[in-house]
Amino acid sequence: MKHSRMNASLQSGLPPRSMADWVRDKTGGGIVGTLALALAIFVFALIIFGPLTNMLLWAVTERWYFPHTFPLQYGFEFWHRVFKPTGNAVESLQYSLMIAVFTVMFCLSLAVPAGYALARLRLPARALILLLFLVPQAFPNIPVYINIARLFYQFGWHGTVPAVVLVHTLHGMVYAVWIATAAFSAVDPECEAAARDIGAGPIRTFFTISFPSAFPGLVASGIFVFLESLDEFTGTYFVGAPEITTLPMLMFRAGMEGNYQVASITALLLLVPSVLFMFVVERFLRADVLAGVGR
Amino acid sequence: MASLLSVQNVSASYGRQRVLDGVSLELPESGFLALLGRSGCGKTTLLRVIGGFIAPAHGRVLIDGQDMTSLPPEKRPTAMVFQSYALWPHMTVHGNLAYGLRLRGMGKAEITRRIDEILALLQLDNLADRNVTALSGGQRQRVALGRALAVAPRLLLLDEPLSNLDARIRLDLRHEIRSLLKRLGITAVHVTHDREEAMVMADQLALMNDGQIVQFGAPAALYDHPANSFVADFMGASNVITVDLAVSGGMAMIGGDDACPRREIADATLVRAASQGARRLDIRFRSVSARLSECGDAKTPAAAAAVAPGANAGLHLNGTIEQVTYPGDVYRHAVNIGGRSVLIDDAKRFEEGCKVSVFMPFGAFHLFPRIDEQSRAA
Repeated sequence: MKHSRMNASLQSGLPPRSMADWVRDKTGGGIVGTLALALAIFVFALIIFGPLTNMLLWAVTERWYFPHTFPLQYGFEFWHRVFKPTGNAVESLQYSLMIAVFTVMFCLSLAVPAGYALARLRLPARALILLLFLVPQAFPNIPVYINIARLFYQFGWHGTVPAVVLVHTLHGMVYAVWIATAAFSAVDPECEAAARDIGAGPIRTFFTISFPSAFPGLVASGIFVFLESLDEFTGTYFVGAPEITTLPMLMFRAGMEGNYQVASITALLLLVPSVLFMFVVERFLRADVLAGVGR
Repeated sequence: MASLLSVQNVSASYGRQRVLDGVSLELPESGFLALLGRSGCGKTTLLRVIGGFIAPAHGRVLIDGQDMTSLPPEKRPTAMVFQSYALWPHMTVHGNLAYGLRLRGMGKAEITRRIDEILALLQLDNLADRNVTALSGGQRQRVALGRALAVAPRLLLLDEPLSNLDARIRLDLRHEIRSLLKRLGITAVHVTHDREEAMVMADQLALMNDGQIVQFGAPAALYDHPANSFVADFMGASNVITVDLAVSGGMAMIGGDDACPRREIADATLVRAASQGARRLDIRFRSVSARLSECGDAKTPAAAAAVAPGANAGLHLNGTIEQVTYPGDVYRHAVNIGGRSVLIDDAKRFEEGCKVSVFMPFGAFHLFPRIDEQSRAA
């Protein structure tokens, strides 16, 4: 049975059709194989969804302590506490959104011209400059941020929104520039030539042809920067704390104080834009742009 | 007549590589010129120099007598149809056509009227609001042409506009574009590597090779009187037989072996070339212009002449059939003549291995004397 199956597979010269087939082939098929497959799926699901489920449970828990497997009392008491006007969650949310929006604006205002210039550069130089944007990511984060924080203290910028925006921009630039470069690279230079040919000057050509063609990619780039800024913790902590409290910092503090309810609710709040924007990015970021990232 | 377009001694290079080498040409109003040549011959570069996308290293480009050499594309009265069409994907058909008109400050109502006119002209009615990405290849091609025509250019530049289309549509569009441009009286420069397309569409051909114009003239002139072996080859006379050439008593003597029996030809050009030292002669001809007849075991010139009466009306060669194929209409024979294989079409089928006599009437073949190393040494 097993041999005939293998022979058939060899003769047809094709790989097994799917993962399930592969597992079945390896285990000799039948009930054992199916059970092994089910177990594998269960383990993967647990790894992926386990922490999320735990977070969801904590978000609606009022009382839950050690020996009990599940919460003792459910309710939305902590949601009220987090969202009441005097609570610091609303303030943190405002800071987070404001900083994210400014970071996106600042990042894109640099990434659009940089991406356009890089997209029109020849390859070796372009690859080198793109690599250069990775450098801040290559060094250990904390020493870099500590040094930035020290500098900002000297200038008196520490604990201000612009300081946090600057740090987030440094962090987001790599996404912004890489994706913007890919977006502009996907614009056919002949389309720009056609506009010039028909009577548009170089600046008009950029704003009516190049920019609108690259727009979906630029939106995607902006979304990545927005999400990165929303999630950013280390830089904000060193440059912004204690004056600036963003959602991740609120979550961190709540978690450290053992206030898992508040931490979970904040985490859920952070999850919403991520999930929403992922759908948008998926629609906007065309495959040809994605294929060009980093080239 | 004054020229609308005048290209004067233009040279251009990509880095160290020279792609245009002293090209000059003149094109009158309402003329249709095809720049013809293999890829890399400089034809597209020349078109882009005329359009203003490439600055020439030397020379000038004049349109209506005005020097355009230093002007950017947007300041030139030219419009190009790109090989890739280069339609703007974020705009509708209307948006693509209206772009140039808006730049010229035309009113909204007038733009719509003008676009309707052009869409009707190109048989694209009802497609104005369609996104260009939702069009077929042929429709995109027409929109690209319409976009260029909409701005009423003095000179239309066509960069291999048909090369991305199916063979069938391509054949139709050749005639459509030609009759449309003739009707509108548009002056155009067309780049192509397709000889037939160039001959069907254009009034004038400029055959290019290695950055130079090899021959300039009407399609029939290049076809019937190619200036050299390269032109003859490109214009379809791709069969070539090389024979000996000598001069004797004011007559050119050619041939002298089994394949090409020795004979004399009263041709002033040949005599002059031979007396200047040419010792070899390329005979170039098309597959359709030679006729085959069976010569059995007869190999002597006299017998060959007897098989085909009127020997003085043309040239006789002897060969052996190597292969017979049938592409339709006629049989295509690969014939070995003195070690060179040539293709000859004939309505009658000759079997492989058959000895044949090849007859070509005068005027159906081209003679190009050659001064090669061997004859130069002599």
